[in-house]
Amino acid sequence: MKVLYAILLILLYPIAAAIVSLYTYDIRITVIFSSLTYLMNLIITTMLLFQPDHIGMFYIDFVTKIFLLIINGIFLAMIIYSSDYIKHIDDPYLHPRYFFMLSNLFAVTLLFSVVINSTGLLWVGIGASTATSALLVVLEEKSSAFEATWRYIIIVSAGLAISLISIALVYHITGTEALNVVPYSLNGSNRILAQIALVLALIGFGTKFGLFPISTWLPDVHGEAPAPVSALFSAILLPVALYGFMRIYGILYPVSNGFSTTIIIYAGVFSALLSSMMFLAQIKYKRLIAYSSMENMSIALIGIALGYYGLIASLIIISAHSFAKSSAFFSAGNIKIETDESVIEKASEIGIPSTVTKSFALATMSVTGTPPFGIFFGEFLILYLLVEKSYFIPVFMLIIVMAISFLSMLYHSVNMMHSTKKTEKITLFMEYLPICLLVISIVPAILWVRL
Amino acid sequence: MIAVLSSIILLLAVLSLLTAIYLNIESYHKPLIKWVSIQSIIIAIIFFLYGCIYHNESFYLLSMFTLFFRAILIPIVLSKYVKDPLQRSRTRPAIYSIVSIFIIVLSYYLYTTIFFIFPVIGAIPLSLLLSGLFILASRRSTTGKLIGYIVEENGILFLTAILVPTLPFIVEVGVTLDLVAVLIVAVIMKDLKLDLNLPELRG
Repeated sequence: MKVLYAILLILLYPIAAAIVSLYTYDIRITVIFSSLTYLMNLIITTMLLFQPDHIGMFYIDFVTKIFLLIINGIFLAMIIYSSDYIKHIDDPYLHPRYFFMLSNLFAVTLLFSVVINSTGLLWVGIGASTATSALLVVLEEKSSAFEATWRYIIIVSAGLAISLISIALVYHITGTEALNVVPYSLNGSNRILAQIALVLALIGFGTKFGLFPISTWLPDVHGEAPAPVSALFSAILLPVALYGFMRIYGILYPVSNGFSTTIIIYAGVFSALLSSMMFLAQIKYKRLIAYSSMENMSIALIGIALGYYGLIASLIIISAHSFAKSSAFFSAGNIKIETDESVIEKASEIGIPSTVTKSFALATMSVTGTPPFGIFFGEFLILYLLVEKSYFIPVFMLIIVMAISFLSMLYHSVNMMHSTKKTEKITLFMEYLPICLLVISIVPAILWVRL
Repeated sequence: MIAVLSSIILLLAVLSLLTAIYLNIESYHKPLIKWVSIQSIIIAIIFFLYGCIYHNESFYLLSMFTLFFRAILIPIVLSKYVKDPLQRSRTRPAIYSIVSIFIIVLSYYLYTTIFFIFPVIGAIPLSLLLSGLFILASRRSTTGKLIGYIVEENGILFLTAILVPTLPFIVEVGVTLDLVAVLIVAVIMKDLKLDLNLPELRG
């Protein structure tokens, strides 16, 4: 019962924050209230870590708790960063109070998606997150942002509609919507349906979590949205969409044979390879990070297909990715404010303050799986598991992916590190928040080593 | 009685397929809106008849929901923003007709291969779904893309009703609300006349 109340509070606080944001014209009050909301949620989630799993209207296990920590942590950082960032936007398309209201509603849909014990409602939550997040992208009122938003809405909604067929099939197979169901007794035709459902779920949720090449909206939106929104999309939206697939896979895993596992592994490997190949050609630093998100999510997808330890590896990657990627996008936001340029070469010519480029370079190193950051340990574990299960071709391809992404990121980062300028426009908090998030991104690795 | 209702459903399903073919070919926005509304009315009647067959109140509710949102509200809102009768997304009727027939044949083949344990009528909503995706991909205007999205969702709703008639009502409502949310976002952005293909978003 305690867990039930805790979850209700976790959902109600952001709703209250959204209402306060809507009716408060003083942004300071909105920021303070919203920050306290996510701080309280973080405290409640930390307490939940020591509670047993809960199965009822909500499904709260270790995976859910990790996702709750990530969502609340990133939203806390984003709200505080946005309070300063939004001052640098001339004539925003939305009034800041609507921006914070939509951000809080976005948080509600994501939190709802990860706690609800129903595949159907999980789908509804992820679908609703598209609607609540779409307008956040056009805050800076650029025609390119409008088009990016359209691409996002249409592609993701069309993709998610396909995943609904998968959910209908899961319902047909199991006879229930619950996430904790294990379909032991299946006849031959249902076994085939389970495999079809998995593939449809991969395509459907894949359009949202960044599976290349069906997530064509992702670099556009990440590139055109304001930096705090890009951070939310990359650090939370993609992992929550992956969570949707993870749950469907969790239900169907006992009845799917090795064929489905192989398909998922190869889909992840090819997606990672193709997205990493896009790194070097990028001229905008935010699009560069966006392709990196696709690579990270693809590798996390491979982990999910590898069973229990693979799931642990995926959780390490997802949690480290969330903090490192938000760090990278906040650094990108700092570059944008200081130089007013989104093209790497032009920003470098103007001169990017050295502390900003250092945090950007560190963040990019982190997301490419450089030790001691968390992603390295997750990727290492996935490689180990692939070798153990004799998937040698994916191992070889993944090593190529890691090499390409590391070298490309290094090349772009070094190109930006020319200036010895000091920061002029950003606040001290905006300057050092990315570093703090990078330090947090090491924590999953430490926990893994301790385990 | 059930046999008669099933025959009527089959007839209506074929009619919905014909509307999808027309929507694939038509380039002007005004008729597109009118015909997607007609298609939604047909789907709403089909849901009503399913309600009669299965004695399931959810289907009656879903029928009303479809009728109100997809057949009436959304077309009215879209019409408000498409006043110019000459507003269009360019199409190639000859090629798109062939594509439509190909989609129908492909849907039948895929359905009978993949979903072989379900009633064969499901090939029609699968065809609607694929037609919707084709309209989405082939139109550059936002109105054209919205029409494609509605056709796709009509197909999805119809297909899930055939695959799992007992799928909870709330999920079906979620699909419709998703569509409404998309429309609201479109209206807030005041960009229903946007022509998509900016060079900034390449690469």
